[in-house]
Amino acid sequence: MTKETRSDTWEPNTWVLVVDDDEDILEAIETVLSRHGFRAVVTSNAQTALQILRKSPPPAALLVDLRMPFMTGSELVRAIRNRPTLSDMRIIGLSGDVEGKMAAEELALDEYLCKPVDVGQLVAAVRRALAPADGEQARP
Amino acid sequence: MSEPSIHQSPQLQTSLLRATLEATADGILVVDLRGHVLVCNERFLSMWAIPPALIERQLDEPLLDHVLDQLKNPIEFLRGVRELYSSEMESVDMLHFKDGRVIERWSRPQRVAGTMVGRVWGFHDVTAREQLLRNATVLSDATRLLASLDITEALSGLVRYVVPLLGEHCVADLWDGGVMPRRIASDLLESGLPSALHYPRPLRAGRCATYKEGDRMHLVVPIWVGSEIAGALAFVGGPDRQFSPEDVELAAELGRRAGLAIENSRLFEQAQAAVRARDEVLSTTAHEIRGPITSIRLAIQTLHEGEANETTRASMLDLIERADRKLTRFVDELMDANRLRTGLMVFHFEKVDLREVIQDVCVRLDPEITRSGSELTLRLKGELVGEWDRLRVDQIISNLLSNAITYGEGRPIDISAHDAGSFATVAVRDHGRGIPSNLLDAVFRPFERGAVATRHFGGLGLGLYIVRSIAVQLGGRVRIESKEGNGTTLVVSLPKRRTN
Repeated sequence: MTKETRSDTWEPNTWVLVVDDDEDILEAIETVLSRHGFRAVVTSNAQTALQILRKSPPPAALLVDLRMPFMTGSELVRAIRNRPTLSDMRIIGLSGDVEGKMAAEELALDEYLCKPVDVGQLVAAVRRALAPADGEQARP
Repeated sequence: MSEPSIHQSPQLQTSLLRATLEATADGILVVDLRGHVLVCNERFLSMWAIPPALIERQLDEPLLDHVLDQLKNPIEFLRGVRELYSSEMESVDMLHFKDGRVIERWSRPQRVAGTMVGRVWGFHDVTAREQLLRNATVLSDATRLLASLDITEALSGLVRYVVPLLGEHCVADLWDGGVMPRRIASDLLESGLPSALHYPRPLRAGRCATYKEGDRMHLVVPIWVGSEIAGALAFVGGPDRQFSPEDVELAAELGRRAGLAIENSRLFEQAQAAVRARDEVLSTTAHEIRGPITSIRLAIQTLHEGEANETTRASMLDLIERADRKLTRFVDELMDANRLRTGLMVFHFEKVDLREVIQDVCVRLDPEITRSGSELTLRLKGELVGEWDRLRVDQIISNLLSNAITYGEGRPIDISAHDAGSFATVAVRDHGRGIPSNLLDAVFRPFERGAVATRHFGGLGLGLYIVRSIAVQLGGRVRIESKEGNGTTLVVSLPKRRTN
């Protein structure tokens, strides 16, 4: 599939890792984020997400479904929190039930999106996550 | 005139007194101030078990010596007697016998020309009345104690309450699944308590039993919950304690009420579990519906935004179609589960080739198989044609294969089918993490999943419930074989000919 993007130049540390066990949602999110100028890398399971994080420079944000088989989104977040190199990465939780919202609060995630999410909410949440904290250099 | 003289004769007076004394149901004793027995009736003698030789001596002191041993509180009894002999008061009090009888004792001075010359004692057996009163009080208190839904707390309260009323110790033994019963005791003193493993045969058959162990009488009553004996209440009597039929009846009623309390507590737990299950189903349903809606919404908004190229447009439309199919399948599953549960599913029998159905399903689910990374192997042998409902057989195979894809962790999946005489058998095997043996039954229950800590796997957990329900309604059966870490095999056998 040809990915559409509105930007041909990538700044370092602006890519977003998306993890959701629903392949259709992954495809939709990847398309939306690409069309709005973000670089999205997607995977349908948490173990692969950990492998990606091990090999690549850390993404600016992680968008993660909190309810997944085998390794849940919450477990992935806990595993990430143990890694100092990933401490700057913003984490956006995604889920379709009230337990997900509670898990997001418990894990003190930077953002939480409740399914069904729309393009505006998704793009705004990713923008906020990528926005600089006080004293940081602005990200595009 | 001879008649008046007969009326006044001492023989007649004595006969009249004797007849009157013997006509009453109460024991009567008259003693003079020097302690001589002037008169008593047969009822008095039998009530206190006084031998004829003793009463012939007509002395109060040997009588007192004889009866003291029969009373629960002889010292208080004796003090009362002494006080009353030296007073001119009337009295009423209660005497409690060691054998459980309760006697109401009343007394009044005997006077001649206003001068006290002795005392008349009356003894009225009120055991039955007292027992009724006691039983009513005990049952009312016991019901209050057993109202707690925490059954350990309820039974602890009960076994402590009935001591010393129904014995020196009391235990409740509950057979709630373990090898040894769970014991709830009235005190920490375990010695002298009956061992639940040696309860007498009548109890094991559900009846009350009394028996002697050492120098103590024991009384055990069953705790029935529905049609099963869920446990027993055991009472240990004091050294002289006999259990009367009334005691046995009261204990049996306590056992019945304990059973009701356990039943209530179980019903409450079941109701709570049902509420939890409902919440779980609602939560899963929300998740399952919100997923495809998210895909549809993002795809539609992307299409609306415009500027999408042909490839993006096509992939977004495909995505909408897939999400639509997911939602439709989801609703169909719910409806099917409901139809199967209520027996309203209609089957359309026709000649069906299982081989074709399996191949169709494999082609249809090929994208999912590819995505999962699992490699599929088919081994179809022999005549696999039968009289079935094609749609429902397709559903069985689809659910089995979907299950293997979901739980197979990308490892190989094998489908084999063979002709087993009057049956056709199909087995679907995955090499995933398998199911713990204690959860094997659960996988066939609606909304449950045996494999991993549930809920994150997508779907409602209705797949295998539907498989088994359809197979059973077609006259077939389903078997599951699984070992933790070694994959799961589901085997469905269907009779080739239509059964009623």
